Amino acid sequence: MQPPVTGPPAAAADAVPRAAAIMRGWHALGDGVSPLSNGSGRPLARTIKLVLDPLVIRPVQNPHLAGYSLTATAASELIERIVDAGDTLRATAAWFVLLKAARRTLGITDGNPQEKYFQRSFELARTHGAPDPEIAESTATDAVQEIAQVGGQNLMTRIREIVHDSIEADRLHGELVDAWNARRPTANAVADAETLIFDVLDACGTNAVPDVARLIDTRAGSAAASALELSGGARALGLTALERPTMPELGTNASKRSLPLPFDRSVFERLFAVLSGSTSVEIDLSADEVLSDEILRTAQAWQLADEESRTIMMLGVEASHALEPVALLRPSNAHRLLNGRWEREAYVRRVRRLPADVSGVPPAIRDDVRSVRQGYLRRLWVRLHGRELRGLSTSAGELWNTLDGALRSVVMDQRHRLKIAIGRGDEVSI
Amino acid sequence: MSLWISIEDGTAVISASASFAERPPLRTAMIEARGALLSWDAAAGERFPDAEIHTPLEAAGWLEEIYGGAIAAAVRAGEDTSHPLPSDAELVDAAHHLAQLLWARDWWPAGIYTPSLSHPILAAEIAVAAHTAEHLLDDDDAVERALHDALDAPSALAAAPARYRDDAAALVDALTDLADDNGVALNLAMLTTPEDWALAAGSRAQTGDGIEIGHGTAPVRWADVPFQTVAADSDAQWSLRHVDGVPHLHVSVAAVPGATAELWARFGPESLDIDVPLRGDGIAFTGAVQVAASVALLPLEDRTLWVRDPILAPVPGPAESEADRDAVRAHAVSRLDDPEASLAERAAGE
Repeated sequence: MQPPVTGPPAAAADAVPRAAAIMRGWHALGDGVSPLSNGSGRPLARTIKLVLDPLVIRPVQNPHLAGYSLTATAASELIERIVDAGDTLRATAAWFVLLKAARRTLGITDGNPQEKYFQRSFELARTHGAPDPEIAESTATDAVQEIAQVGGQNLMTRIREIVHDSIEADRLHGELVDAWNARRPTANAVADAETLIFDVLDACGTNAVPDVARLIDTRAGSAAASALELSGGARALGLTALERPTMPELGTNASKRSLPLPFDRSVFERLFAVLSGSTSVEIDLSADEVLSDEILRTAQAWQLADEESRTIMMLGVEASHALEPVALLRPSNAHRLLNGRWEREAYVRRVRRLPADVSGVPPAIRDDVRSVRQGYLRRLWVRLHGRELRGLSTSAGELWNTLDGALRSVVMDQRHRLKIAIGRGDEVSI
Repeated sequence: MSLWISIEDGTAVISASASFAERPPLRTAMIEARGALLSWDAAAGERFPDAEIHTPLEAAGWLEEIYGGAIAAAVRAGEDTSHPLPSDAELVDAAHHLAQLLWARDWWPAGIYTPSLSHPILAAEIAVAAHTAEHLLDDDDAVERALHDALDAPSALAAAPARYRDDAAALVDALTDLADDNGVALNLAMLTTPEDWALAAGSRAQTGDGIEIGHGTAPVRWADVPFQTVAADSDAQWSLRHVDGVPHLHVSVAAVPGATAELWARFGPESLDIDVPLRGDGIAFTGAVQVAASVALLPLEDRTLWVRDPILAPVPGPAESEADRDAVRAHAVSRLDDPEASLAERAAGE
């Protein structure tokens, strides 16, 4: 987890929207970055997420460059950072085009090339500068092949071999039993955790960056997991169909269409859910290590390994009360915004000619729409679990996007399923 | 003309009218933007949208591109005020274009006098338009999602009418580049024939056998049936007939040519439990059921007919305004030969 970001909020008078500053810097780079731009010449959302923010602007290290709006001085600095990185960014764009061509030549079709190659293109630009025609093609081919080899599918193939080997499977089952026998309840959180939770949620969607690190230090996230052990506790949150979570099976197979609820998934199914997806997965661990890590993870609070993830699950549980049909006495900003998104959804569905009243839709979809809070918490868990496996952390500045993004994903998924129910879509989903 | 800005409970509203009101869904062209909903009257030519800005800080990232600097600054400052229409709104036309395409996808009133639109071509245009406005959309995957709806566009575009072949080729190129960037495999098999293009619609009223003892018509709410299924310019018809001395209720409603859907028609009050399944043959949706003799005695006001897809419309809604529906139909007809219209609309007019 990154340190808390404590940059001062930009004063309203000279505030510059951060997105506008990024756009200004980007425009100064000219046509050379168009492979990283959208149809109106702005940087793609993925360009910002995968390249500009983590590699050029670096808001975690430069807190004054984080948030929705910046001071005029900070905006100038941000623009300067983008302009200074101009040569590298233009070279990144050129490398991306070459990597895409190599991907076509190699017949690789899985995954999203922007997700898979943007960061590698930036690395190549840093290392080699603009592509040298002499070696560019072979360098690009090597890079694409390497990414394919460390991708999730290869790792998953090896994991499948291991769990199908009876000796290995017995050993891993032993690890599972040991891990679950060693489970201990976490001590209660510090007394002021409730205030900290409210403050963090209230900072969501504002220009203030929430002090998540302090909340993590209290281990309130782990302590909150004790409620999952109560009768029906985890079931009420949609994380299991059982009265209480039980030790998972090791498992030997999985199907994307019929994955059980998160805590009811076998170890194999948990890994399959992350590694067989279309998003880029680069994990620098062996299959044995990944399996052992996952086994340990299943026995930990929230069945997650990092206190950061547990803290975000706890925040999600609290914030998602906004999705229940009861008025909250003291809603935070996160509550208000999540509630607003969900309240708008029926209107948006009417405008999109989709069922606003779901009483006529097939029961499986109807139940999912009506128990949106449980669906939300499942999606949040799945995302946090995926990030842990990929070794990614969630900075304080990304907290709100994580909490809100899970709900956005759930409602888009619901719309997709409703479209299929009325015969307006096929099963392809992203 | 001015745009009005009002702030209440943290939500900012921008509207051409001082008293902002929600439009009926069937004439709402909408974009879900980051931090706001933008909506235009789909049947009017206004350039600037109404906005409901629920997260002003987030919307500040693009507001200037839609409303210009002065209005964006007023929203940032939280001012209740009005401003003249801006001249520095760089992206408002691109956003409007996307909103109209999305509206056409959902509400285009295909029927007897208005040809249907090619779904794949519309989907291709939506994908390209979403790419242009990508940074202001509240969905990082909007383009990829749109591409998945446009998988069959290459074959549909290959069959475009000759006069639009250049536009179609340019659209295929743009779509192919986008698909390549996003790792989406388009379906390149040539499946579509020119006959799949807009067909002249026609309705066939089912007369049925026996002796007619009553008949009537009822409008079909567009919101109650899926897009491009029931002809949007035709009412449903019912007739009560004695066949061999037994009363039967016949229902028919004109279809958009080739459309299939599972529709039902409820006749009379719900307590009578008369629900007629309708089968489509590509020309009309029709059905008939035997009913009790007492149905013939129903008072006129109870002789109601409600055609719907039960998934889409489980309960009856308020009648749609005929004025709204007329405006939408007139708008659609005007688009068919409008050089500024989308390729899907112009091609349908051929």
